[in-house]
Amino acid sequence: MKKAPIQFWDYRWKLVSLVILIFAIAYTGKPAAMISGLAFSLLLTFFTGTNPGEAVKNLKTPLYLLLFMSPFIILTPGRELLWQLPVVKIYRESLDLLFTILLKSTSIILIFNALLYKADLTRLMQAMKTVGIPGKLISILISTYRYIFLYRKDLVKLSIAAKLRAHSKRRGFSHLLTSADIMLTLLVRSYEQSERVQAAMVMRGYRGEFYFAEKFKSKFSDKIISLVVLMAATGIILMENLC
Amino acid sequence: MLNIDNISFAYPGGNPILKEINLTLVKGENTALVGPNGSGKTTLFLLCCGILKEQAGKIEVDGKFIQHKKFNSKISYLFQSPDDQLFSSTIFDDVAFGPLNMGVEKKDIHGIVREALKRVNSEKLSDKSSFHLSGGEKRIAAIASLLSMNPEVLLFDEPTANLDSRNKRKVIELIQCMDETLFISSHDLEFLLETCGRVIVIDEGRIVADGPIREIMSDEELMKRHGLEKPHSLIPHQERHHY
Repeated sequence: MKKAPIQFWDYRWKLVSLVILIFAIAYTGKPAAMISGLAFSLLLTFFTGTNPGEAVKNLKTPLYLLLFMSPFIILTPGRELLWQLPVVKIYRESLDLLFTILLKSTSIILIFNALLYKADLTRLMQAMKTVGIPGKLISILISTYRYIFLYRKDLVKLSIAAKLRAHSKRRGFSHLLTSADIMLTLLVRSYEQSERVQAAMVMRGYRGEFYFAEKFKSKFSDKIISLVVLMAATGIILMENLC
Repeated sequence: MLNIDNISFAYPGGNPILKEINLTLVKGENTALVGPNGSGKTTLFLLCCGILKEQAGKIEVDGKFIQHKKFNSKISYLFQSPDDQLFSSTIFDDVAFGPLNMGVEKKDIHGIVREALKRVNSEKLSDKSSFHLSGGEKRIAAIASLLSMNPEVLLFDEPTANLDSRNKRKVIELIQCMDETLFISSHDLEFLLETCGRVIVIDEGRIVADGPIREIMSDEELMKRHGLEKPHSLIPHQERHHY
């Protein structure tokens, strides 16, 4: 399968420059800086060959969450009244807040998508280790990534087993009780499995630290791409402070 | 090679699961461990590799005592479920995990992984993720992840569980080619007849029989008494199956 341009970017350079870009976007508050952040995230998605469909898919859940929260955000009191309806008052500050959250979260999710798109997780963790992220945190991330899928599979199996025994026909408290039992079973199973996994790791010499077989070799182009991203991050911060 | 001396064990708040177990495995010999469910087979294996702490007695591998939760490169354990054993994003990383923890130089890792995968005839799995493997492939990859550490004693817990005939045959052929000391627990007696020369029967925490596999498994009375059945291949045919 043909590799996307983003997959050729050295993981260490990619990690550092995109994390700096995320912080730069998180720092912004002025519309011009935020819109620039979003524009650059979209450009990044386009030029790095990141699948736009996947990016949209990844945006769905946070945007649904934002949609759910938006009535509460809109009703936040402020100083400058825009509209007054018989019961509710809408202030400029609340709309600004909604706009800020929408722009910044969309930009950051797009950048995360570029960071993780078709990434080799082991190489990404290795890059994290190289840039000084603690070994314990990396171990947790590696294990979480691997086992979250297994637990999801387990949850699906348990839910099917419950459905096959007419769980969905039960209503009210007993339905909730069964759902709680399923979650509890999953918790116990995941605890037991984590013990077995830890034993399997200790049996292969694991002492709290991951070691990696590959060495990183950065190319000149990696540095150029990172420089462009860092310049964009600087531009966004300057725009925030100067505009 | 593996010397178990007067081992007893009980889980907290439970009845003794192993009672004064004594046995010695000879170097290079394949030994089967059989017994009904709950007879203590897995517990014995977990004690042998130091995952559980013995409450009485000692276990020695090649003259070195097994210590609780301390890595011992001479002994390795294949878990019942390969999902407990494989956690990296590629099979290469999983097979390299043990040698890297043992401090093998990075330049030698590729050769070691290639060799381990070659031994199990699965070099093509190297770049694959364990998510995308079948049950049989996962089992074979889990075996390779142990072989890469070059252990002298291998404990296999139900290595043919959930495998179809083709994959079971692969495991049998693999075991027949191995020159390590193997201790194999299984309910698949036909599989054990093909791979082991000696059998240990365990029931209610005690060794009830130990000797040549064909001789012991032919003893219908003994097998029945301990919740087992004489393997079909050892029952003389009364009449021809095919004409």
